[in-house]
Amino acid sequence: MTDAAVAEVTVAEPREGGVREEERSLASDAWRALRGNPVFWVSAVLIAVFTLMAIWPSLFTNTDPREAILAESRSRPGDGTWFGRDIQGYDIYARCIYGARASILVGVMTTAMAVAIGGGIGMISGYLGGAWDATFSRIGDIFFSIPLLLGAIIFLSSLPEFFNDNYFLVIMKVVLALAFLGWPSLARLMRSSVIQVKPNDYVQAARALGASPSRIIRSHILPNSLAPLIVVATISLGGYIAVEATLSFLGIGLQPPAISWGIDISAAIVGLRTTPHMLFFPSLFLSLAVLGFILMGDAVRDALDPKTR
Amino acid sequence: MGTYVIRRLLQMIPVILGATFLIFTMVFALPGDPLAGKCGERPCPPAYAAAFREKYNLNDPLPIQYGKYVGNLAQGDFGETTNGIKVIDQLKARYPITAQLALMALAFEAIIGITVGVFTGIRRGGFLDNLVLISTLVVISIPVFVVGGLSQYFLGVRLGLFPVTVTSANPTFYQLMLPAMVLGSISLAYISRLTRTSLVENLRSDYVRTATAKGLRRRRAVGLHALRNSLIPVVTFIGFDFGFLLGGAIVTEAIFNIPGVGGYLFRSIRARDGASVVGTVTVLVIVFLFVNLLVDLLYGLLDPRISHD
Repeated sequence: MTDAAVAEVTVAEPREGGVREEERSLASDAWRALRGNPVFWVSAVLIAVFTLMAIWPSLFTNTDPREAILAESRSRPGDGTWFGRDIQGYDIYARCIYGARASILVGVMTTAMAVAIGGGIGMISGYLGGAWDATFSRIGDIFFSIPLLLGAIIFLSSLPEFFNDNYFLVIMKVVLALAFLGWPSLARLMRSSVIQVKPNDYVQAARALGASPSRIIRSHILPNSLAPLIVVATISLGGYIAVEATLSFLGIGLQPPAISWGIDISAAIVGLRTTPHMLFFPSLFLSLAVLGFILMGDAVRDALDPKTR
Repeated sequence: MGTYVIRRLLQMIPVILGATFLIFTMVFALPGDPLAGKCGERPCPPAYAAAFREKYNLNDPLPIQYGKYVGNLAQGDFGETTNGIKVIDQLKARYPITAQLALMALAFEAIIGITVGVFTGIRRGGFLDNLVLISTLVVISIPVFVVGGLSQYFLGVRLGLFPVTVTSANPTFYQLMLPAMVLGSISLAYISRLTRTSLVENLRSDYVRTATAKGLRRRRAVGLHALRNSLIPVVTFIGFDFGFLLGGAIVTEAIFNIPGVGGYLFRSIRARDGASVVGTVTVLVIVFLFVNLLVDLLYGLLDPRISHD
């Protein structure tokens, strides 16, 4: 059907020279490469499952993750539950399912915020250059020189009690800390790709035609400089999930009663020798979630980079 | 070269000032009172409290406190903890341990990572290449505290190959070996992937073809010509990584009970001990900036086309 339609169009509007090259943009080209890549499908399925888990955990389990049956505390997988119970008598399977929400929320919101701040600042310093560039680059250097984990620990400790009020605020606290320290690497990336795109002829042509700076940025520079940012943002989404778990592991990020893989892993690590299943399942879920986003970033990078084809 | 170094050193000053100010502000905002619990189970006598506040400049507004701190710092005085211990003594006792751990991790990840990267790069698409690509992805997606706990259990407890925890204030090389391997594991995966990608790209370049054409053995063409240029992104990564290793050591130190700066910093934040926190992070930032300056100077050695004049 599609082939027939294309053939008809070709007949109806013959081009000069008689050869019709199929018009393909970078995006459709990339999509074509992605579709054929099994890694992309694996990661897409992983991300879809975890996102579904985050939005609608009751789809996967009917058990309340906060229902503590102390009599069956530390029971092994298969003794009435799929993954066994932890030291509080919680069903580990239900905990793993409900833990996805915190990780996905932190990952997605941190990435959105870091992309907005980093991308915006990178765009400004790349497009305007000069004093703006120097100022923003130095500010970025300051944030960049503080290691993410250390800075996040200090930042989280210094936030007022107000942020411990409810679930959303606790999540926001971690998001703020990670985005606050994570934007400079994205800003540097955006700046360098804007600087690469800016001297191109089509940008000069748009300027000569009298397009406003906002129009030049929106319809010429942004679409052509966004690809590296998307790739790195996807990969760092996985990284932010890992950092969230690390912070929760250290007892600084999310706090119980919030449910997070990091908290469960931290509680399970004391029983490493006697009840390794308590550590194994949350670690598996966490690693798979991180893996999903890293694989996706990798696949998208391969699809966007003509050199790897 | 000389002017380049001087310019870079001058650029460091605002970054160091900005980073210390950022940390100082966050520490200033830490909730809680450093006087709490100082005098046992009763509030401190007013005279003592007043003298304490005077000594640690707690009555001054933030900019003045910061100004006094930087003034002292410029003279090499890191101040005292609220227990009256000189911060510099604590840093002198703990930084060497963390630095040794980070350097061991760096050596581990660089040597093995580059070796693996070269072997997979020259035989692209082979079995080894695919195996390494998949296994590095798995390693990247497992958070460091899970790797730490698992290797401590399997390599330390089960197999008895390594000491399970560090038991002295002056850990031996052998005791730090497993923690260093854990700390460097994720970066090891990144380095081998980076080396591979970069080597594959350079193997296709004209100068490698010329080297082969003029009769050099493949070993020499790859080792001397391609590898040297391929190492530039790897060295950049290692430079950034050193700072993150120092910061990331906080988790490894907690798992393996290593008396380095990580645990010290963690306790200082909890105890609201501003001088220790700011001092520790300041040293970290300065080390990070110097290592990256060193990396930039290394570029010239690796690639003769790059000059800093």
